[in-house]
Amino acid sequence: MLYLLILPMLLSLVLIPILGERIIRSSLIAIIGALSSFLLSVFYFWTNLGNSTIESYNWISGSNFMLSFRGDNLTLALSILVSFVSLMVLVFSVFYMRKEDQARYYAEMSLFIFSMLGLVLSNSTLLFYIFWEIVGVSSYLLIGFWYKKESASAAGKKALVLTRIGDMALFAAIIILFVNLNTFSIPNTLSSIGFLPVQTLVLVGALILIAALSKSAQFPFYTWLPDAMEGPTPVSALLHSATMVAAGVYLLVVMSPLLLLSGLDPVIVTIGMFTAFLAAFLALNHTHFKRILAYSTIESLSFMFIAVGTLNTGGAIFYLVVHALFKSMLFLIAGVLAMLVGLQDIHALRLKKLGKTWLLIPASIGFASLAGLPPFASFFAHASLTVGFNMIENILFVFLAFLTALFSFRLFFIVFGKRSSTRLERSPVSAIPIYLLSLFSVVGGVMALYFTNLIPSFAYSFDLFTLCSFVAAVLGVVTAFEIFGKGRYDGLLIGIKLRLKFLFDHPYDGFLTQVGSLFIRLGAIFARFEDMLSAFYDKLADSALLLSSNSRRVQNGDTQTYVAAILVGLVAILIVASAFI
Amino acid sequence: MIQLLGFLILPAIGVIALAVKRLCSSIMSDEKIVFGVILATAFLFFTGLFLGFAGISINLVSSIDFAFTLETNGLSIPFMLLAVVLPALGLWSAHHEIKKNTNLFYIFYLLSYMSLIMIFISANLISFFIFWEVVLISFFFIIAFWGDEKIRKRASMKFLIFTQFGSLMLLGAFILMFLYTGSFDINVISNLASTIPSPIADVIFLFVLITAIVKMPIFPLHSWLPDAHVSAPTSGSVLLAGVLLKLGGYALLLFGVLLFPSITSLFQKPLIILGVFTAIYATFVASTQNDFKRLIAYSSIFYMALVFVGLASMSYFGESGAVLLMVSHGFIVGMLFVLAGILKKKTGTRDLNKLGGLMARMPVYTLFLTIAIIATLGVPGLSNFPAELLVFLGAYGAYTLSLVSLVGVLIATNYYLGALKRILFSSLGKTLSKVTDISMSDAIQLSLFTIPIIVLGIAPNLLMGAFNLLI
Repeated sequence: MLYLLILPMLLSLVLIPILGERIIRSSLIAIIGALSSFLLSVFYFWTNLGNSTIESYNWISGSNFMLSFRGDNLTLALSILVSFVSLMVLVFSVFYMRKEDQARYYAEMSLFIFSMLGLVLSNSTLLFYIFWEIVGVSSYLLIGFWYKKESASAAGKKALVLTRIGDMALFAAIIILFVNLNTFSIPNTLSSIGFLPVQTLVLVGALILIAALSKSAQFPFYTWLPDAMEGPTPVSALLHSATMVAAGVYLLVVMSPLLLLSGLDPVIVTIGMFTAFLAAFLALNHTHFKRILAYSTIESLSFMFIAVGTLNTGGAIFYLVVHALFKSMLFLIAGVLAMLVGLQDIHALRLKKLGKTWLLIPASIGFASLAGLPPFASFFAHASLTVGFNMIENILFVFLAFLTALFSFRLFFIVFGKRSSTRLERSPVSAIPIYLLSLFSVVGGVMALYFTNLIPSFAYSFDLFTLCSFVAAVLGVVTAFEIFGKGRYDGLLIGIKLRLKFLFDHPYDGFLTQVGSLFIRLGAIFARFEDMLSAFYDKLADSALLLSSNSRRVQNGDTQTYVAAILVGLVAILIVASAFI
Repeated sequence: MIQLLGFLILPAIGVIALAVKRLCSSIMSDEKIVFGVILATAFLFFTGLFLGFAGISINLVSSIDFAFTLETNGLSIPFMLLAVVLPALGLWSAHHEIKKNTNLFYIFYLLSYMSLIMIFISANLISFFIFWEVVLISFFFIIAFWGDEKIRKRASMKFLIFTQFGSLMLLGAFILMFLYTGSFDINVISNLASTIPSPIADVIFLFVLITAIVKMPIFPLHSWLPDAHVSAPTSGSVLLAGVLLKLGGYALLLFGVLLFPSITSLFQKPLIILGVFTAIYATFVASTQNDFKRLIAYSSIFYMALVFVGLASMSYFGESGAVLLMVSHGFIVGMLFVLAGILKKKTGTRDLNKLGGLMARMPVYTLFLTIAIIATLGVPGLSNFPAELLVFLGAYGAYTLSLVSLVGVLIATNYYLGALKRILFSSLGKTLSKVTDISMSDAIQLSLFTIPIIVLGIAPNLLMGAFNLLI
C-alpha cells in the first residue's frame, strides 16, 4: 500500500486543473494532498517501525521490469521529511504566491512533491530513474515560473540541461546494470555487483557519481543552482535546498556499496572538499541574499558528499534531514524579506534596519544552525558527519567550519545588524511554517539519539576535532561580528576578499559557455556539410525537372515534327543496323 | 471477426464518392465524406481489436501465388494503430490550410490513408508493393500541389527521386525473393529465407537496407525529408512523419532483420555505428535550425536513427523498443507538426528568431507545446520513455558504443528547450501583441494526440501485449 503515500499529490495534480480556483482554491487542494501524504507517512512509519516491506508491480510483460517501492525506516523517515517540508512550503506559498497564477504554480508543485516522494520510496533503479527525471522536469518548470523574465527562463533551461547530463549518465548506468545483472531491483543489484568485471563497475560507479554531482549541484555542474534562484522563493526553499538537490546524495547513499566496490570514494571526498571550499568562498563574496543561501546549500551538500565518501552514510542522511529543516526555513525568511521589503541585496536590506523584527529569532537560529553551533540540531549533525574522517579531512573541515560561520554570520550581521523599530507584517501563513521549522531546527538534535536505532549505520562522536570545529565556528562568528556587525565591512572586506568570484564564478561560467559554443561550432560544421549535401541533391532534383521540361517539348503534338523525328530515327536505325550486318 | 478487406473497401468508397462528386455536386461536403470514412475505418479497427481480424486471399494468377492477400502478422497492430488514427488527427489541420482543389487533395489523402493501412496488412509482396507505390505517388502530389509555394517543386521532385529509388531497390529485393523461393507469399518466403544462397541473400538484404535508409531516413540519404516537411501542409507532415517514415522501419524489420538474422548479425556493428552517427549528426544539424518545422524534421531523423539502432540490435528489447518508439514518435511528432502549423497560422511565422513570449497570449497552446516537447525528450510518464529504454537496453546488449547516442538526447534537450524558450518565454515579440489562443477545436485535436502519448507512457504493456515479434 506504499503507493498510497504518493497518490495524494498525484490526485492534487489532476484535480487542480479541473477544480482549481473555480470550486476550491488550488492551494487548498495541494495542501490537503501534502497533509495526507505527511499523515500517511507518519502512520506507516509508526506501524512499520523496524520492518521493511517491498511492493512490486510489473511494468512491461515478458521481462522483469519491476517497479517496486520499499518502506523501511530510512525511506519512510525521508518521506516524512519531504512531505513535512512540502507542507510547510505550501502553506508559506499561500502568503508568497498570492498574486500569482495559482493553478499553474500548485499543479507544478504537486508534480514535484509527487515525484520526490516516489523517489525516496523507490526500490528499483528503474522507478528511481523515472521519478528522478520528473523531479528534474518539475524543477525546470518551477524555476521558469516567471516566464516573462528572460533570466528566469534562461535559468530554468540551464538547470535542466546541466542536470540532464546526470540524468543520461544515470540512465546509462541503469542500462549497463540491467544488461549485466538482469534486474532493476536495488537490493538484488547490490547483492550481485561482485560478479561484475572491475572496469564495468568503475564505469557504472562513475556514471552514478556524475548523476549525483549534477543533481546536487557539485563541481563541475554547480553553476545551475545559484541561477535557479530566479525561481519563486518557496520553490528555492523546497526544491533547491531541502529536497531535490539532496536526491543526488540519496542516490549515492543508496548505491554506496557499489561506489565502495568501484573504489570511487576518494574521488567523492576530493570533489566534495573542493566544492565545499569553493562554495564557501563564493558565498563570502556575494551580496544577494538568496544566492548566498544557494552557495551555502552547495557547501552543505558537499558535506554530505564527503560523509558518503568516508563511508558514513548514516551521518550523511542525518545531516540531510537537519539541513532540510533549517535551510528551507532560511529560504522562507528570504521570501518574507523579498515580499515585504522587496529587496534581495544584503547591503540594501541593512539600510531597512530589520534588527528588531520578528524574523530575528528564526534567522539567528537558522544561521547558527548553518554554522553548526550548539545546542542546535545542526551541531549534532556535524558531529555525526565527521565520524569517518581521517586527519586531513578533519583539519580541512575545521577550516570549513570557520568559513561557514564567517559567511553565514556575515549575512546575518549585515542584514539584521541595524536595530530600529521597523516592523514587518506577520501573517499566520508566513509565520507558522518559519516558527515550526525553526523549532525543529532547535530540538532536532534529540533526533540523533533516536536515529541510532533507526538507521543501523548511524553514529556520532564528540572528539577533539568537534571541539576544534566549534572553536573555529565561534571564531568565525566573532570575526564576522568584528568586521560586518560594526558596520566597518566596506574597508575590511577588500582585505579578505579572495576575488574567487572573479576567478571562478564568471570565468567558470564563461568556460561553460565556451564548451557550449564549441558544440555550436561543431553543429555549424555539421550544418555546413548538410547544406552541401542538400545542394548536391537539389542539383539532382533540378536536373530531373529540367530534363522533364525539355523532353516535354518533344511531345508537342506537332505532326510535322513527329514525322521528321520518325524519319531521322529510321535512318539512324538503318545506319546502325547496316554497320552490324 | 472483422474482415480486413473492410480497410480497403471503406476508404475506396470514400475515394469514389469524392471522385463522383467532382462531376456532379452533392449535398455532402468533401470533409464530411473524408471524416465519415476515416471514422468508420477507425471504428472498424477498434472493434477488430476486440473481435479479431479475418484475413482474405484472392489469387490473381492461378499457377503461382500472384495474389492479393490480407492478413495480420505479429507487427500489424501497432502500425495499424498509427496508420488508422494519425491521419484522422492530421486531417483536422487540413480544414484551414487547404484552400484550393480541396476535393482532389482529399482524394489523394484518402488514397494514401488506404494504402498505408493496406501495406501493414498485406501478406503478399504484390499487394505490398502496389500499395507502397500508391502512397508515394499520392504523397508526391500532395507536396507538389499543396506544398509551400517557394520550394514545393524542388521538394516534391527530391521526394520522388529518393523514394522511387528506394522503391526500385525494394522491387529488386522482391524479385530476387520470388526467384529464389518461388513465392510472393510473405509467410512462405520467411520459411524459405534460410534456403536462399548466400550472395543472393546478401544482395536482398542490401536492397532492403537501402530502401530503409532512404525511407526512415538515415544518413546520407536523408536529405529529402526536411524539404518535404517544410514544404508539405500540416496534415501532410503528420502523415509523412507519423506513418510514412515508419514504412522504412517496418520493411527493414520484416524483410531484413527477421528474414536474414545471420546477415544482420554480420553487419550489426557497422549498422549500429551508422545509426549512432545519424543520431548525433541529426541533432547537431537540428540545433542550428531556426525554422521550427525544419527543427522538428531533423529531430525526427534523430528518433528514426534510434529506431534503426534498435532494429540492428537484433534483440527482443531492441526490436520491440524500436516498434514502440515508431508508434510513440508517430504521435509525438504528429503533435509537434500540428503545433508548428498552429504557430504559423496564428503568428504568420515559424522563425524562432521572430517569436517570443507567446505564453502570455497563448496559455493553452503553451500547455500542449510543453507536453509535446517534454514527451519528445523521453521524460518518464510519456510514451517515448519506455520505447527509448527498451531500445537502449537492446542496443547496449548488442554493442556498447550505442550508448553514445545518449549525447544526442542531451543535445536534443538543449535545442528543444531553446525552442520552447524562444517561442513561449521572455518578453512578447513586438508584432505578436494581437495573437489569440488556440480554438476549442484545436484543443480537442491536440488532446487526442496527448491521450495515446500519456497512456502508452504509463502502460506500454497495452501495446507490447498487442504485438509479438515474428521470432
